[in-house]
Amino acid sequence: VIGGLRSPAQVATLAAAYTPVTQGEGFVARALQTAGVPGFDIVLESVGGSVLASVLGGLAVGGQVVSYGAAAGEPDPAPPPVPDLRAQNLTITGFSILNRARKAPPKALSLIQGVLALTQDGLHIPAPAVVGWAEAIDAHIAQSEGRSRGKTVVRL
Amino acid sequence: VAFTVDGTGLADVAVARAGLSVPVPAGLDLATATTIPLTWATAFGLVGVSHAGAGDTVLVTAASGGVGSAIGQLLAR
Repeated sequence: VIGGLRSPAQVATLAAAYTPVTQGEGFVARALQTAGVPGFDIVLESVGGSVLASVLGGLAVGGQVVSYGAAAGEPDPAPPPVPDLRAQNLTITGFSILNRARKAPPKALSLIQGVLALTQDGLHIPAPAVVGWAEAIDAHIAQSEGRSRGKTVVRL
Repeated sequence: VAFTVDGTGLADVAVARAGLSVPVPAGLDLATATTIPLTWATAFGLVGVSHAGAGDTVLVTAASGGVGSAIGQLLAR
């Protein structure tokens, strides 16, 4: 499993399952080289823009990309023509928990319940950072600058 | 804990939909449980829709954030 990073400094916060590759010029090519494969079976993608465009060219035959965000703020690329998808047996999937919760609440609820069931089956969820109201502004800035790992809870 | 779909969580009082609220099981503290409806449910949903399993070569383009970390943990199971 290859894990993309915005900067090498983020290696310290990476889950143990990942082999790190830093984003930027030639990101997907470097990720493929690190993985030692000609294409990825699955890409879970939330950067959007040029990164999403490049991963579409980095899929194995039968590969799937799941787009679940566009954090870079760049315009989404045009999807490949359907004949190209057929030729390589590719799948492009969109995923948004927020839109599931808005439009199909029971489907979002089942995901939440699925995670809770895993916690009863040994999944350890790391405790988030918990800050007081006075630290909330600094916590927001740290989040926006990618300096915090995961969610920060503000306790009132 | 509840999923608040209108971004109304940062408030003294919030209204949550009953259909998007779940009781927190014993043994899970409330602060940790708040990471489940958005962050962990997203990671769980992504692993589900992609059918990622043993033998798959997977790229997670943003692996260091909350969702990326959760995906990493779920894929390792």
